[in-house]
Amino acid sequence: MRKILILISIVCLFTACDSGKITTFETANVSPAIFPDYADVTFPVNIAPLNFKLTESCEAVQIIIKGKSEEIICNGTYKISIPAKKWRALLEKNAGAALEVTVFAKKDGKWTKYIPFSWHVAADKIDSYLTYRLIDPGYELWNKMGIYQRNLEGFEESPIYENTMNDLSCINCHSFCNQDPKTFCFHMRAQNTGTYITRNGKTEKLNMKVDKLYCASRYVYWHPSGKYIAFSINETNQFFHSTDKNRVEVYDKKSEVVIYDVENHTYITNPSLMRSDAFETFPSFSTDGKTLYFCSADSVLMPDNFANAKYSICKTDFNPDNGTISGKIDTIFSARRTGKSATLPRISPDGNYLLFSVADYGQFHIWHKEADLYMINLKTNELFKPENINSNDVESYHSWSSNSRWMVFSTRRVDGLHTVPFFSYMDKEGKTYKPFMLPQEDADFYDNFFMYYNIPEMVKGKVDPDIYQMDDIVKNSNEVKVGIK
Amino acid sequence: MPLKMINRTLNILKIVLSTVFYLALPLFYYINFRYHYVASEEYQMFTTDVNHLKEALSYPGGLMGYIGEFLTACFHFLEGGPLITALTIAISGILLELLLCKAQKNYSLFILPLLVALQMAILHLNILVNISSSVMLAFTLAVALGYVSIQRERIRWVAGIPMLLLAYWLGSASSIILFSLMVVWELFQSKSPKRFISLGISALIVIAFPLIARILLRDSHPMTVSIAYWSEVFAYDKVFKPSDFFLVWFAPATLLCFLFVYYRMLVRKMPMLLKKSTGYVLILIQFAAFSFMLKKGMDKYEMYKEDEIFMKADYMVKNEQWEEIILMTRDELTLSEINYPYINLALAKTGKMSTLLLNYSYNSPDMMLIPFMQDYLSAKILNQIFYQIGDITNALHMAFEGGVSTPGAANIILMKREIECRLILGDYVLAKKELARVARTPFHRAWARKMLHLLETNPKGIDELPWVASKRKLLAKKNMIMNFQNIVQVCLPLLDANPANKAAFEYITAAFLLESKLQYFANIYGQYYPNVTAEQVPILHQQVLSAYLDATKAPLQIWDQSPISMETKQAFVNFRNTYMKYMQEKRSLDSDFTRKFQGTYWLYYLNNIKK
Repeated sequence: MRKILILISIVCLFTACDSGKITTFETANVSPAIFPDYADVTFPVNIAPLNFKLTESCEAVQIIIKGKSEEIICNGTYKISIPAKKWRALLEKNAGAALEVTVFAKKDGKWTKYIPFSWHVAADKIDSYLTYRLIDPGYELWNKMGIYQRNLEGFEESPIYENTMNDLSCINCHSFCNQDPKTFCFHMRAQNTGTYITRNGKTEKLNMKVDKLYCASRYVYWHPSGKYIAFSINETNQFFHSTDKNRVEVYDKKSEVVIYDVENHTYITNPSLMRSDAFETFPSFSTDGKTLYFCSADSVLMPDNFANAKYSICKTDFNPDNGTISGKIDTIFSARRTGKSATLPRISPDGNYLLFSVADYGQFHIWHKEADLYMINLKTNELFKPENINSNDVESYHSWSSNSRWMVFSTRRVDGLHTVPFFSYMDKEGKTYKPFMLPQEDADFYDNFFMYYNIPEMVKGKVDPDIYQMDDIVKNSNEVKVGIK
Repeated sequence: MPLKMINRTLNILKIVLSTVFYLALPLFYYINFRYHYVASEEYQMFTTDVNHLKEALSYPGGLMGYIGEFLTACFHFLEGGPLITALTIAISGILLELLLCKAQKNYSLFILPLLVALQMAILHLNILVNISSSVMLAFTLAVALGYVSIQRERIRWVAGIPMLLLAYWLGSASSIILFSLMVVWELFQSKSPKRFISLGISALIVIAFPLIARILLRDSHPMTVSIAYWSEVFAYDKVFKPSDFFLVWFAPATLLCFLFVYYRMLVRKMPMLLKKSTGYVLILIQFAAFSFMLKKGMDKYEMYKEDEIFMKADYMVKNEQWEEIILMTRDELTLSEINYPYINLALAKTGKMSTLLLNYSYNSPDMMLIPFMQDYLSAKILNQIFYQIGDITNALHMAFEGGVSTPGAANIILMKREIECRLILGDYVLAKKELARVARTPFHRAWARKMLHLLETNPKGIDELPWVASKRKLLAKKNMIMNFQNIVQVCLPLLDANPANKAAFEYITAAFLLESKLQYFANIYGQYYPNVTAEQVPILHQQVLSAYLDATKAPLQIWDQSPISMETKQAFVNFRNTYMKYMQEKRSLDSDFTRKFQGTYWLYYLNNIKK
């Protein structure tokens, strides 16, 4: 008897997927309510399985994923877990085509078939890793946090650095150069304070505070050559609203933009980026490295006039050969003209599009429910709101894949508080498609996860060095003092 | 007296002493520290889902942490903490007794296990010592007992290896105790030279396994890692920090080794000890050690006893027992400052601030809100105050800050409070997500399931919950930049939104009164309660208003229209005349004057102005 039971269990286990199709069912004229909402999304050929669950209660669920010539059948109680091997094979065979997904749910002993939906498999691959910081969605305090990397082709997540190794210090503002896993930097505050810059796997610890600047560097963007990093210097504060839809306001009392020469350990400055009558922040470089983009607002008394701090996106020329900033400023998104405030300009690696976030005011839009993503076509200077991407909640921190076909952005659309990375495809014509949420092995994952994903950045491979080497550097290396050119 | 009789007497004494000690312990904890334990319910978020157990099993010491977390959840009941803590200590003590008996029954050592139990009992006076530590010790002692019970040497040596691995994975650093016992046992019990091979392998496991575990847990471990990390690796578990590790584990481990060596060298090799009276000396030494530790324990008791008043007040605040807080603190002469925010809250909630305010020795609005020290304790106190006065946005803020700064970043009580705030503010999506988590806890699931059911079937039912409806009425309406460290700035928007917010009114008037801001005080009455009569205004407030009218040289007509009773006016005239007489006679205000006007605002005002 015992052997029979074991045998039955093994058979059940192996037939969880690809067991027989449901033949007797009623047809419902509605789409299935699923979480995450993966209906009609477009995803890359190399993505991990898009496991999901039915949000209404049921006794069992079956899905059929149908490609050109083959299909996968998966069974579950209320959630499904697609076998990775079959998934990968199916996607490879259907690259550039659509899959049809049919959901059956068993309720009160009867099966119901829902209206099928499509999955569009883009042949353009996505960078294989996503990096992000995980942190409690807090006000002022934090506990455990870390910068992590997640294999997008599977579900493996590993820490790049965790603050549990360093007395729960704050780790922030990680940034990669050209999505290269061997060239990146991040800041550490509290214990072993400094900026850690890794180039070709070698890391140095820097003291970025210089006497002429009122605080150390903060927001960061790499020059495509890897020889320079644009930083903003911000005297940042925050306050809390009493009854507003947005609970936290992060603002700068003053801010300016500088460029850091990585090889010579010096800041390059220009008066046009350090004006006392303006707040300059969130710099970024163009793909050819000859233009520096940044956000700029007329300085106002903060925090009293917080709603009047409206940022434009500006640009100036930068000469990477001799490290000079021209100082001639052009405005490409005008806060005065639009009445809105823009932040986080990010140029697609092919140099065609500028992606940025727009809200009613301010520059820290992750706490602005009205924040949406906008784009400028840099060839035609056309400003537009990309289709299918935005929601009624926050869309803010965003970045590009190395092939310019994929965007990842943080949004609070799921529950209003916890930011989650969503990926959206943009084809060669500049059309954007319905985004999909970072897939997880367990479809219940997001229900039980109470941290939020911060600064999602795609990288082309696994980050080097690993966490232990990094910890060794954090604790034992001598810091390099930065100067001003 | 024959040896046999001595041993029997000692055995009876051992049984009586142990029974008294282990029975007295829960009673002692219950009588003196039950509110400590209830408060420490907050240091966990035990859930019954499989993932939680899986996660606990995935790292060294996790299972013991998991069990400890469950036991801490049982501290929800007033009896839970004292009973469970005493029980784990008793189990550890009895296991240790059995271990010693395995070596040889020597009745002159009967107090030694009680010494360890006493040390554990003293450690558990500190609210921050997790019950997991006692669970781990009991577990390791049970494994050790299993080890020494194996008679055949080779089987014992072979079994020791998986036992050590098991003890490491389930009990983390407590496996050192097992290893220590194994070493002592084999050194003295066995004569075979092969025991050193077994001990060598065990030592290798103790050193290498934490490193292997780390590789399994995290990522590949590079050779470049310095040996300095070894100590961190050893203490790698989510329950203790290295300092706790030495405090809780290293001391008992050393003590145990000492006990065994001591036992083997002094007692067993000299079987005639008792006859030669050395046995009596041994007993005396143990009694002396026990008394010494008891004295140390009493010092700790005194230290933590003061905290118990605060813990009790905290418990009463959670249960909204305002009158009881006032009653409890009324006769306390030496209250520490940390109690005042709760006393003030109780006074404000009962409307007694305006009558009893000057009965307490505090004299500053700083005592109404504790400064936010970016820690769990101040956040939790502030959370209670904000929630009770209706400042739900700040209450949510502090519930979050308290939760995230709780050791282990899991706090069931503050999570529940976060949910309450979200339900009041109408943030149902997030409330649902958090309720689903609380619905998996053992003692708050009923409440969570009820709320979830309501949200899923009848969301409008939330509006009708009395605690939701009453708090929504108090919500501030106008958005502004919050300053949650100033009681007036916190309460003014609340009073503005709802002049019937009695607690907000009490706080504001008390703050102005204590700071002698008479103009502001009078403005509050003028703005929000212009038509009150003297019957509706507390005597203390009438005294403030009379001081204000006098200071502003208000005409008689204003006095007549003011809500000041005839008695108060006469009392004020009496005060004023007496004061003027003192001034005219150039006399300093003596004890007669103070006695005569003790408890009046006028006397407080004079003293405050002087300061």
